[in-house]
Amino acid sequence: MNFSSDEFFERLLNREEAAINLLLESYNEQLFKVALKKNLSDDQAEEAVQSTWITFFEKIENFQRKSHIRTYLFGILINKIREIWRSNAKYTEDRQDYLENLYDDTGHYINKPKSPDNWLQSKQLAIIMNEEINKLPENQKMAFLLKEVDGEKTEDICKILDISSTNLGVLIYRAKNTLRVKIEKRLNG
Amino acid sequence: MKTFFKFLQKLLKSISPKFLQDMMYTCEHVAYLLSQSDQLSLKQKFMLKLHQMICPPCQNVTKQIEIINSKTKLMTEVDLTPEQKLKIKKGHSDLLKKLSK
Repeated sequence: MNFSSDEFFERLLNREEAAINLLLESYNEQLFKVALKKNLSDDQAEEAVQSTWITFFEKIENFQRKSHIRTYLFGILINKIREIWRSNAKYTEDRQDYLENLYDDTGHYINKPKSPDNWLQSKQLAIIMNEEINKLPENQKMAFLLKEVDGEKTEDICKILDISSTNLGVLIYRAKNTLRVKIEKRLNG
Repeated sequence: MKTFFKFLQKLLKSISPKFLQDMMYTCEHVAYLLSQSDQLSLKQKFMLKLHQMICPPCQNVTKQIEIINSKTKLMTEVDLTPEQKLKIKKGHSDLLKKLSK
């Protein structure tokens, strides 16, 4: 089924059960998995997905169809996930800039990064990484998770987050390097 | 062995032509490129390798980022539990009732 066709869109506008069912079959599980990968609980993921669909159908008349339905749906879901992050103390951002004073005026390291040879032996690494991902500033965290965990295309992430590809590059750079610096601090002392 | 590598790095740095030294990336630039490693041009890849050869801190950063990337890849697959599958199925039928005319 071509979800981008006029005919299908018309059926959705008319709230035709078969068309809605087709869309749910294609994306409901995907949306749930995406929500879970944003560190939400099962109940929170369900809540985010349900309200995504409701918002989608409430605003369907405003959908200009410049992007694919999937991208539009994911954009709504991402906003719902952000709302849940904001309302939950578990997702409190660490606002300190860990990349400040990392380099000297010539762009070289002030404190030389240490070898991560001990990282792989650490049983804590996965836990530490998860904790530190949760503490990343919201935009960095979302960009990082969409790109690295969900494997979304750059073009789609830019549409979902409404940012330029340069901006996305900076967010990914900051997220990865903040994680790197903080893991080093915790595992190398 | 380590001393030998340090010597080799210094030698490489001293014999590289001035224009190459001017073109050399800074550690900050290298860190940026490492975080976008799937989108680099051939020139960027070459200059990155050249910098890494002579810069032990960036060699460590490269390894750190590689570990982060590999651990992140493990997070990409979600195997749904039977309870989660049930939740999705129930959500599907609830939504269908709620959304269709």
